[in-house]
Amino acid sequence: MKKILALVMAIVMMMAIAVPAFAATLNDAAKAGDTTVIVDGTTGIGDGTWSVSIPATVNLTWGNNGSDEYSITSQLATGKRVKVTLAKSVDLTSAANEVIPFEATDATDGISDDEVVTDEAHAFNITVDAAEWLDVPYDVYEGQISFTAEVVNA
Amino acid sequence: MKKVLSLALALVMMFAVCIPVFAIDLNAGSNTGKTDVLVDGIRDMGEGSYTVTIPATVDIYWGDTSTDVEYSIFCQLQTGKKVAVSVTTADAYTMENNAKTAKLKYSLSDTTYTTTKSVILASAPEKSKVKVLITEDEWNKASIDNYRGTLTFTAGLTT
Repeated sequence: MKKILALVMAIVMMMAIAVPAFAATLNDAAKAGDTTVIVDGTTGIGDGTWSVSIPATVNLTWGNNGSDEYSITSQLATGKRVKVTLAKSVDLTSAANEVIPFEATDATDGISDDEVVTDEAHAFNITVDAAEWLDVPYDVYEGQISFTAEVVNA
Repeated sequence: MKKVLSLALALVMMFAVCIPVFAIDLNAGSNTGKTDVLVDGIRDMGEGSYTVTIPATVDIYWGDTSTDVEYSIFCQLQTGKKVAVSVTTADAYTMENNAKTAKLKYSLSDTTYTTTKSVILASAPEKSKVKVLITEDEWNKASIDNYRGTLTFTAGLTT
């Protein structure tokens, strides 16, 4: 039994020693060989890095709709994209609590075009129903749009 | 002095260059953000606009001691502003016949009105009226004729 165990151990040790033997050996008979270079960008880095720059403020002119842009910069794993969703979070409201409802919509699908993009501009629109401008006193109104960004599969 | 001026100018230019920095960056550590949407209706529209519609002519029937002259108002103004209308006479409260040989004295009541709101839609204007008063005594002593007078309406903004 001991002999069998010793034999098994010897085989295991030989296989362990054999791993470096997978390296190519060049000699007179085989003067050329290939070494594969591997970069595993997903280990430790994960999905990658990205940032979305949104405007702090968008100014509208009374009686008009408006538009602006946000931009995406990313370096992501293959097949990944940055997705931005936006929505109105607070209607245009004056200090006197008069309200002008509005809608904020992305003019694009909100998804970056590629894994690696630099300052990719995406437009968004702010629309106010024409009748809403007539219903309220002239004043300073302030509203808010919320943005959320995430990494998704393409 | 030149150094101070150039320093001030440099600071102003630095602030100008800083404006684009007011953008907000979202990233994996902070993936939500808010953009303020601003409308300055006072900057864009000033005090606002109003319309007061007054009748070109009002008929007073012989013997009526009180006749309403109705007018209407619609407006879109700054918050807190209202339209104020006042009515006076341009003829010293005296109507005259065409030949200007006979007079009929009158008076007015309810000569001022202030709107209740800053925004009144054209489709639902506020209405008010001034009363033209002619006493029975004036009717009794007037020769029967056509008389004509003039009311002057003045509109403005108030708070």
